[in-house]
Amino acid sequence: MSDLAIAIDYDSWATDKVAQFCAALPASQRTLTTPGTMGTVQATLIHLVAARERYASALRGQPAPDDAIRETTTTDLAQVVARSKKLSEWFAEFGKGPIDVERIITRRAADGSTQQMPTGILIAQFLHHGNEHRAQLGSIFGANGIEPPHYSAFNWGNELGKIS
Amino acid sequence: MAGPLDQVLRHNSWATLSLLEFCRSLDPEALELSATGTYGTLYGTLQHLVGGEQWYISLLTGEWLGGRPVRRDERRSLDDLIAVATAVGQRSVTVAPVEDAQRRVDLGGGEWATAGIILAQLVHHGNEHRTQATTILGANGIDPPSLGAWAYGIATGIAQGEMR
Repeated sequence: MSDLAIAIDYDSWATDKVAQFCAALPASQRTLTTPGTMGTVQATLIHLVAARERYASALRGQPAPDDAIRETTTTDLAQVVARSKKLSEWFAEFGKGPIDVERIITRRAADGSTQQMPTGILIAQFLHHGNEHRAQLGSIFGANGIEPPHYSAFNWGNELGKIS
Repeated sequence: MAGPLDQVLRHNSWATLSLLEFCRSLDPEALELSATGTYGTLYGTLQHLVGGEQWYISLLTGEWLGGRPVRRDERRSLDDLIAVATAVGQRSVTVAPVEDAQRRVDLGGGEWATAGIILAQLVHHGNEHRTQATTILGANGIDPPSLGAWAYGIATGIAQGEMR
């Protein structure tokens, strides 16, 4: 297993863990936020998973499926958790490779504009994006007196028995 | 030869240095800003960010880059932190492709982690604390720098298109 596959698997584990944590919160806590972050717990989680959909689609070179999580339409966090797990299964297969990190990907935005980047940059972006929004959720929890889930790579390693 | 994690580590280093340089341009008093739910002050977060990465690389290489460990009880200038972060970032890129991701690395005190987990932790840790720093900036009315991999790709000329 490559170091990149490990980083991708960790990202999936952490997002799934945070998603399950958020979905289990009472409705009143899903609307919490704190200054300097993206928005509420619910909006941040939906954006986090909706973006995973878009990154996976860009890597596959296919449009997002009809049941994709979207910021504009998704409200059910149980659906977000289930879809995140499905995406994690896809990312696990993707991570096994082979991955050509130099392959150029063209990504088309909703407004018709395009971006071109090597696959390695897209991977760096989705790892960054996942960490960024999980950290924002951690700040929201901390600011509101909620003990956040432990989702570092060392926590993951402990669960896997790859750290002791 | 570049490894599969190459762009992820290059982005990590670029983002940390971009944040440090942004913070160096602020009034020195801004380094004492904080926000609820984050790690601490802006300076304390930057110090921990750099010190953590320095430690992770020392685990993999046995080298304390930057001369001596960055510790909480010693206030070092941002110029100094930038010098340490530069050395650590460059070393992360060279060590990853020659590292065995499954190798057990001694953490001290009888504990160990695989090298792959340490690299995943390095990436997670950087993104996590950079996000806390940008949360502090945003919560205090300072527009934070763009630190995503899109921004990195555009800044380095390896991605094209408009950032959205």
